[in-house]
Amino acid sequence: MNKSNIKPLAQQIMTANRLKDGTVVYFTGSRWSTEIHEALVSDDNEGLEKEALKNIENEDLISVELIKVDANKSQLAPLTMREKIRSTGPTIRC
Amino acid sequence: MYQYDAYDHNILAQRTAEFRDQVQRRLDGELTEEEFRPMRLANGVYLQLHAYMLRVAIPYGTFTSNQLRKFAYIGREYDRGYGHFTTRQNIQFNWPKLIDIPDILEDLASVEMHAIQTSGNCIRNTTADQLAGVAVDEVADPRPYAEIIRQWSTLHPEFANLPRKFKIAITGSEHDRAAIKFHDIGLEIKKTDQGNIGFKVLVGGGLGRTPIIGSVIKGFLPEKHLLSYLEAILRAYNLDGRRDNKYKARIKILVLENGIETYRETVEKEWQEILQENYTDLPIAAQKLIFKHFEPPEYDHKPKSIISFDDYYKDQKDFARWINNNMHDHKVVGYAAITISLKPIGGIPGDISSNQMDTLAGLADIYSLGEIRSTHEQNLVLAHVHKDDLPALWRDLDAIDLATPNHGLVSDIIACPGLDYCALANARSIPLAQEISNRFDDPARAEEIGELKIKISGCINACAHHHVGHIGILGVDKKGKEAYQLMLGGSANENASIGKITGRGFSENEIIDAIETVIETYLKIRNDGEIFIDTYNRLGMEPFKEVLYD
Ligand code: SF4
Repeated sequence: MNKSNIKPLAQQIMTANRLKDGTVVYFTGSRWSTEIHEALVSDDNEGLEKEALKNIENEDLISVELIKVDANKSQLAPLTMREKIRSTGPTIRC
Repeated sequence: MYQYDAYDHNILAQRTAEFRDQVQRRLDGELTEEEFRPMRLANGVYLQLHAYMLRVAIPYGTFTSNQLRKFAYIGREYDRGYGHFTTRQNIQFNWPKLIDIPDILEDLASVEMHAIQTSGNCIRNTTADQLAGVAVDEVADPRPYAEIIRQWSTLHPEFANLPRKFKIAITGSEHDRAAIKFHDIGLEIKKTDQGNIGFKVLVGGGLGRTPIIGSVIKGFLPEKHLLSYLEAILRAYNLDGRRDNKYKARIKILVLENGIETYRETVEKEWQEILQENYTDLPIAAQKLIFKHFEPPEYDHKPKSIISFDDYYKDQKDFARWINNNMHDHKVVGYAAITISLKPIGGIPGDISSNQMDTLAGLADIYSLGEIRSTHEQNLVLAHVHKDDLPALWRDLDAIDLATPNHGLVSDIIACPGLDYCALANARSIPLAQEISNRFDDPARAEEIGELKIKISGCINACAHHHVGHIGILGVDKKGKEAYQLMLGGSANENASIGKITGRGFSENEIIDAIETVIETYLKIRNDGEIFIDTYNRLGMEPFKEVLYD
């Protein structure tokens, strides 16, 4: 896994919701952060998933999944509207 | 209103303690998410996109000012300062933390409320006409029957694990304000020439993936057999309903596949057996006890204001507009029921802030016997206001932005939470509702258009009843992009109909213009006195299709 030389469209990050309060979090490589821009981007899905799952036990997370992102923009951007909204909150309220 | 007895309080206390323990065991890692999920759902706790959501049951949409104050408190203390009224007459909180939910449930229990059976494959909250007990066209008040159904269906062990969720609606009037034809069971109260009360019973209605208008299974069910007959319907469904396919598991599919005649025979057989056992129907004495809670209130009016209704109506254009659109006639001379629109122009349908809830609770105490109703159209109702008090009430509501005069008009839109909150959504609903509302913000133009029901769902589950909107909008996913299907001609009232798709769908940028095109076309081709649905029923889809896709 590395942050450079990543093929467009195959890039993924891991996301989940925190058990105790439902907050959306992203896997940074060593911990889970509420900031999507801290997420570890990888084109090695299996490796990323394995690494992230290792870090779940201490974090109590639910709804853990891989999502596709475009990391070639200045800001890491999820590809689907659903994930955009998950990362920034409802478009109608903050 | 029904008031809990010691038995009810005890059930809630036990249930809250049980859930507190379950949450703790989950947080301690003693329960896996797989084990815990059904437990949280059984207590109305969903996981949405950004947070948990707690759905609180409001039995038949009636609640007190104290209960509203408690909603305000929960919104402020545990959420983000607001609540959201749903098309099931319930209230949802969009941001509670799992760790706080046991405390929230304890707070709710202190005002005789809970979240039990607001999720899962069980009998959900029975919904009713929001004008129950006060409507001039009413045969009888549906609320006592809804309460009887509530008590019978709450924690009913036989029906805790049905093939799918099960929804019952009841109306006391022929004019259907409760959409009974689109429920698993719909009940309409009837009175015989001899004055005997009973029910027309419909079964197998529903929306979602397969919209179906309910069929009459019994033309007249005597009042005393309500529970035994419901039990027979549920038992037949519980035994024969499909459990192999989630999408075919609702009772509507069972009725559709077998035909109403066959299903009626099965139910009759079950019913006769239940009648032999003779323990399901409520004894008259117990029924009387429940009815006591719903006796008409004392309307001993003492004017709270010195403003004359007639003068104010003549002089104050905005007040007159609100009266014309939001006031409903009342059984008792001199009184009125008022729809409080939760659809401010450009606002979020069904949302209300904690501050608004607190103030409204005070207004309900002053003007409406401390009682509030929620409607399946995501509005609220004050059902007991003296006409002399309407000017003062209007000014007080206006001061907290709750006097929008748009009931039943183009901006009184039903919209589900959609992709802004809901994990199942394909597309956003709320921003569309806001844009339509802004586009038609001129109240004179809205009145010119007349009654128009626009309903927007973010996916095929149809929580916003888009199939029965005069104009229905369904959010779909088109190659990863939000898109919208447009439907015309639906109706949820006694002339029930299911809308038809206009043709190819519209992008997010096209859909608002498409709706305006439909409305402008209707204005051009309508006959005098017609509302949108009349014009559609007279001329069909063609004139609209022509302009939409020319
Ligand atoms: S209709 Fe679909 S998107 Fe809307 S609230 Fe229901 S499940 Fe969610």
